[in-house]
Amino acid sequence: MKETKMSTHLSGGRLNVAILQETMRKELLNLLQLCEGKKVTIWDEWLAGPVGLVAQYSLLKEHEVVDMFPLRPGSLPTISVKHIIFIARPKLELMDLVADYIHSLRTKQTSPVEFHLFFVPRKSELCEKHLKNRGVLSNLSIQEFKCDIFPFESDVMSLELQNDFRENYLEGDPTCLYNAAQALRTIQQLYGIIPRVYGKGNAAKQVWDLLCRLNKEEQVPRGATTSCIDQLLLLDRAIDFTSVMSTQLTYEGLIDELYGIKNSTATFPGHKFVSPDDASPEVTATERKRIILNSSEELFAELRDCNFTTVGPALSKKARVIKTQLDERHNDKSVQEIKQFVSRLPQMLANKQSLATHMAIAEYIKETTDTFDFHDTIQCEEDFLNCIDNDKACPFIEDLIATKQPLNKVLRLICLQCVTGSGLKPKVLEYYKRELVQVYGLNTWLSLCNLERCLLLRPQTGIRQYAVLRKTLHLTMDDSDANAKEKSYLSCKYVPLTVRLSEHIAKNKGWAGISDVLSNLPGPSLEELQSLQPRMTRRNSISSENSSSLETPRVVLVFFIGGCTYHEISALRSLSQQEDSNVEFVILTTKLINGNTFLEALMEAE
Amino acid sequence: THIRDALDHTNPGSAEASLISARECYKKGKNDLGASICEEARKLIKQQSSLQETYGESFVGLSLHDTVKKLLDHGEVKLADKLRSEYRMPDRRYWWLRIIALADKQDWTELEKL
Repeated sequence: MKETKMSTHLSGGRLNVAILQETMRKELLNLLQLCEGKKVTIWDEWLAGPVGLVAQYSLLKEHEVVDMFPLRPGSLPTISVKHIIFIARPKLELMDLVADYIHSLRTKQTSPVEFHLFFVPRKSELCEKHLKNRGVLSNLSIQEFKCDIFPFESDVMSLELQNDFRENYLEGDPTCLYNAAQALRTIQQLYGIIPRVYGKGNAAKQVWDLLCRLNKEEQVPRGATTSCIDQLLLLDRAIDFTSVMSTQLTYEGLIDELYGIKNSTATFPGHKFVSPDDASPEVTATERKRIILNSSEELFAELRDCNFTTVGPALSKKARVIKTQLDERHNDKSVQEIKQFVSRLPQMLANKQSLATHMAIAEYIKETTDTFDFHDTIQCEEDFLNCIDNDKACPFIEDLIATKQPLNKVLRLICLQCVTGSGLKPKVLEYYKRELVQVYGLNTWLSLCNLERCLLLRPQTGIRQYAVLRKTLHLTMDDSDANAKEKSYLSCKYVPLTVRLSEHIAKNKGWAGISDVLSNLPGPSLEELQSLQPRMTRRNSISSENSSSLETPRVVLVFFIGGCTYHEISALRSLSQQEDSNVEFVILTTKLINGNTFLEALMEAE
Repeated sequence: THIRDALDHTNPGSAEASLISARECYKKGKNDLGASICEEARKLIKQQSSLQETYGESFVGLSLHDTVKKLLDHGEVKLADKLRSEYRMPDRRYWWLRIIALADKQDWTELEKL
């Protein structure tokens, strides 16, 4: 019962993401059943959150998981159960921890224990070797928990790879590309073959080539049919840094920017959540409050994609509606009416509760967005996005450096200036670098080198790609275009490049018509038809599909390789909600990111 | 540029040697900025260790900016000025520092004089 309840927010769309969740959950439970009796799981900390989206603790408990611990260095509580299960990604550091655990446990425990190790999503030769060298492989039974995609929403799935962009672009480790290709295989196995494939950027091409090779190596299992997904669009993050570097101004985006959303959960300070009927207000005020944010909550589903300026009015409107609803009870009523009212009461109270929660969150956000500092930052970003003054050293950035504002914030603006200017003038770049090293220390130099290697910072070359793209793809809106009532500095005037590309793919057939745009972006472009195996192909079905494709809504899977932001998700959603649109976008990403987390991953540790 | 790894271990003593070799590498690679950054960092560490002796407080490991700030906090405007010209600190940033330092000390009369 519980299982079906918690996944309702996944099955709303045309692509039933709940199927994915169901499959992954079954895998895990099957694996757990291999070990009879009571068991304890020890988690790779990175995985605990995402796997929670697949199977919650309560479900695991039903399968005799009596306790869970994080896998981290240090001593382990004595465990007196038969099975100990490690659940970890194939990483060497983690293998060391596993080995340490087993060694330390062996010395102090007498009762027989069976060790298991589940690799997520698949095992690696190297890790097994490493375990062998540590002398623990023979004690371990190794399994694969093939969970490579985590369901977030009915239209959002993520691979949740840690540091994938860094590994690929900085350390030259293409594991994440392999994982991405495998994930696409998983999708195609579950939902069928996607007939049309487009892509842009190096990573997109690599993933596609890899997928083709994997398909050749292992035949696609029989029974594969044409997918309900009509088009696949592979996008390399490296083609569009601008959208990451600019601050997200949607409700969900701002929550992420200011408080961070991890696995659909955000944490806030408690003092605004105190309600009058709280039993112990002091406790609530000091505790940090964790809130799950997904579209199973009606109000959040409505607000998440809105620009933050519209959130306030929406909330107060909602408050009025709820108040009038609740006030109805004072009117005289027949027994019948009261009965009806009572039956609706739980729903109304839940609405009231969620309203209070979002009021509090919105207040927190407003505290930040009302500051001059925030205002100035947005103003500065907007100038860059509109190609104003991105040739010279920006005085606002200079002041930020001089007052030693957080390095992340400064770098983010400099990177934005660089990508929108299609490079910085060598003199300006050199000036910034010297300034940053003088203020933030020599360590910054290493981070700067990293950013240069990813082409986030670079000297200017001849062509101004961004300026051209801005015009041809209408990335920024003029004030005159923008709706008059939304005219506020907070309203977002920038549409991500990736979104414009997706829009084009969804509208026209393929890349045709924007070849000059594509040539302005780095990396090769990709346009392929994926056919079924010959005997599975039915000519008439395909032709009929073509004719009907204009009427029935089509589903486009957009795969962000290197991560995507909430702003981009929101923008894609609003595209499919437009009246004349017959497209639904489903998003697959290697990770959910924002400018800060993205930069942090590329920085050198202190 | 592999020497940057060595550069990471900013332990006393070894730091200077690795900075010199890093500088040489940048020179070979015709990366002028890199070379001068290394050279400045090396000079700075040297000055910091002598400062450390005079004040008995730790200076090594601080950035130039923080070093100057610390000197200003001690009221050593002359020394700070010297560092500023030596490392070609932009005026804008230096004056920001002066103002912040005086404000921290709540030395409003001095702030007025600027």
